[in-house]
Amino acid sequence: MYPILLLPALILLFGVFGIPIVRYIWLSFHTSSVLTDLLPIPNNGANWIRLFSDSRFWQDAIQTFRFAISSVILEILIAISIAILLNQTFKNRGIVRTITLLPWALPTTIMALSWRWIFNTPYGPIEQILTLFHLNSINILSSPKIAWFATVIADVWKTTPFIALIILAGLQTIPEDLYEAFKLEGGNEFSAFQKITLPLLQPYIFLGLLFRFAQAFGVFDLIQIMTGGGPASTTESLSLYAYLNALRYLDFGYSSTIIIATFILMIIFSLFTWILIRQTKSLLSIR
Amino acid sequence: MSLKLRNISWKIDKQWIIRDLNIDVKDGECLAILGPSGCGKSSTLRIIAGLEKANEGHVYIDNIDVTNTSPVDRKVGMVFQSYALFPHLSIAANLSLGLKIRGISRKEQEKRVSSILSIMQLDQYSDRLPSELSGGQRQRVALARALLREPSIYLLDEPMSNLDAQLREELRPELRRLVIYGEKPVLYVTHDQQEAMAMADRIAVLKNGNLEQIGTPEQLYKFPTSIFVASFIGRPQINILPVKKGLIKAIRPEHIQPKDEGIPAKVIHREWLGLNQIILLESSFGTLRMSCDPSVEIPSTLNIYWDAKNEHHFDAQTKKRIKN
Amino acid sequence: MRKQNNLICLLVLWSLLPFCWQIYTSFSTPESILNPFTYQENRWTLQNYIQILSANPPFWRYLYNSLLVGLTSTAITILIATPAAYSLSKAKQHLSNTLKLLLLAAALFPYVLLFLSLLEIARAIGIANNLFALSIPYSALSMPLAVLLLNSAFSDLPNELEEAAIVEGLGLFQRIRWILIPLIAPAIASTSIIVFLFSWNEYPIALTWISDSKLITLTVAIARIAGSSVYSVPYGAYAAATVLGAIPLILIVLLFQKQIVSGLTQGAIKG
Repeated sequence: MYPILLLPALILLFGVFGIPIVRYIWLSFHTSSVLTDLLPIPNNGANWIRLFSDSRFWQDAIQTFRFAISSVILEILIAISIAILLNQTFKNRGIVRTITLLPWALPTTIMALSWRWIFNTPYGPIEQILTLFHLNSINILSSPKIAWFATVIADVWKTTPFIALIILAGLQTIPEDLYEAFKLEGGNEFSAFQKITLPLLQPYIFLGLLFRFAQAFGVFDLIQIMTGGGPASTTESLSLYAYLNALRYLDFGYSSTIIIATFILMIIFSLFTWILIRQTKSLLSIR
Repeated sequence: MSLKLRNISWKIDKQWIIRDLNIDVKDGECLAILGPSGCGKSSTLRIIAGLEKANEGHVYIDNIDVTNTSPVDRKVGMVFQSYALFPHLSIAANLSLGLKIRGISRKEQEKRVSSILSIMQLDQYSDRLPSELSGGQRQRVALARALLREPSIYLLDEPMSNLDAQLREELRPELRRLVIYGEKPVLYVTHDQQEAMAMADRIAVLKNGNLEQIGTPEQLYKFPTSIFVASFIGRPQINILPVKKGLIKAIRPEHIQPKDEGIPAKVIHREWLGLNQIILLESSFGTLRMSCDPSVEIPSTLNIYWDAKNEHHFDAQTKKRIKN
Repeated sequence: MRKQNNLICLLVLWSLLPFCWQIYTSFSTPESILNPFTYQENRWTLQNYIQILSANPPFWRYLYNSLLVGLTSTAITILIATPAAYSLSKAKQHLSNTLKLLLLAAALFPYVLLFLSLLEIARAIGIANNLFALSIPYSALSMPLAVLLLNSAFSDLPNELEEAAIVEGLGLFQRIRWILIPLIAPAIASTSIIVFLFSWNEYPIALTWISDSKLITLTVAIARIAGSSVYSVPYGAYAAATVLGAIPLILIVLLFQKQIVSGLTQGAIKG
């Protein structure tokens, strides 16, 4: 082993991951805002006390969970279907795979704008179609009840290809003779899916779940561009709230507190999911 | 003496792989290191090449202590079990890479590579990739690479194990000829006793990292110093007779023969192999293997006999040979 | 079979429709944008493209900026990740597993949350508003995944190959140059493309670091064109911008589909 070869990478990682995290923890116990000319002044945990009674923070936390969980679950379900479809043989399979991959490769900013335009009232295609059929406008992005789901749809559109690809890779590791042996035993297609495909895909599904949940929990670009967090902060994610606190309200101390709190929530939730998955494995007969 | 191993010991995580190994190999001599898998034979080779560093002991090549010399500077020619040809380079490039690194002129490189290719009868393959060659051809390229290194010692790690049985027999004399061509000591690692006996001037039998016996194939066959060596050398395997008064007797199948006034035995299985026939017998000594002339008619029950002077005697406790 | 074809069509439509709508909008006159299904006269125009290409700075400038950042970050990442991955593949089992776990955790980390501290650091050492400086966080953020992908490529190489090179007399750097790099070239290619895509698509750090409108990257430029108010957005122009911004990516996906797929799935299978 040549540790010196590892050094540049470790230094860079420490600089970009290590230092910021330590700095956030430190800043979260200081006031650093316009009031203090952005100079950090210790405040005996005032940020944390404020956080606990900040209803916007908790609303955003619930929204972030709601967003992450719904989009990840939808993505997994759609991705499994897409992967099974793409694993079959058909004409132009290569082209179809490339097309499927496109949404993933596009920058979030571009696709967020596209979806914002699609959901636009009154000029977007959805509203236009409603008008064409003389139906009532549903005002998607300005409705506090459904705007968040529009962001979920956009997120699902963008990131499903990634999971589909991982699951497809998993599907390709399952040897064909397993299915043949199962058929000889008299199993039908659905039970083959349940007894062979799902259990063997399990690690890939969990991997996709893990990756995507972490990303979805940090969602920023999509929300900032599609809705700006509105209407009435109903689509605001924790990272967007932290961003607004830092760059709009210039409150670095409180922004850091939100960031650290987000880390903690994420870790707790990950552990919770981990335990839940282990508990429910047997119930779902996924072994 | 051109290779000397002195008190070599090597361990992985507190587990001794090699214990206090002493071996000498002369110039031009081929020594086979024989043993079952995990006996430390490949590790010995890797320690000589410098790919592993022994915990104790010294390695001398041409009477120079190379124990602390880097493998890059050791000048050993090694043929790996997988041949380890560089898959992205043509055969010619595989062979000239080492020469290039040593700063040999391009013209000289080409000259040496083309001469070794013709010796190996690989001329027409120089532009092919290793993946386009057969197993036997790859083995020859690996050997050519070792020869071009102009090494002080050759190390061959199971060079035939990836070839089929027929090709192996074909290549044996060729390998022998090419290896001697360098007039350097050759270490040949194998788990196949037949190959070891065919290739080597002397054989070192290793067991659990210990040198069990070292000697010519004939010495090992005739005077095995332990039950382990006796069982490892010679096919079909030697018959170990039941313990009697702290003594274990063993008799080779080829020394047992049918004889009217002998021990009664019953045939339970027979293999007619053309060159000989191997008969599995049930007798008062337990199950015995007998190897005899293929033309002899063997009834289903018979009497067998062997000359007591052909018996090997071992101590039942130490499993070592007792002089007889 | 019929059912399968229908599903494939659905998949293709689902993947392409939002983008097709952008293309359609980008060629529409302002009047037809407002009535996409009914307005008939004076339907098509190139005005939207002309507008963004003749703006100051012209739109291609952002493409150039993104390309520059993308290439430098990819180069830095590969240059640092390759030796690190090699070193990791030679480490003892226990150590390498621990390091790989840490790298995985870093790869999973929602990096968006780092923007504030990174911005502070950039301002403190005076590298905000510097296009090349953006490649430092980009390289660092792609580093965990890059090291993991390359490490799995190195670990897949048979040990005997490198040992054969050692015995042939090749030193460490000669081995890396002549044996290891050529052999893991496919993994380097797919890692490069994934790193490039990340850097091309990155938004929050580019948004906070760069304020000079000549230096902003494509993603920030597009978000700026869209502006902040939903009602004042010049839809035609931003549709044209998204189309132009997407073209390089579509080309990359078309050309390197194999490498992208193998890069993404390698990580999944080995991880």
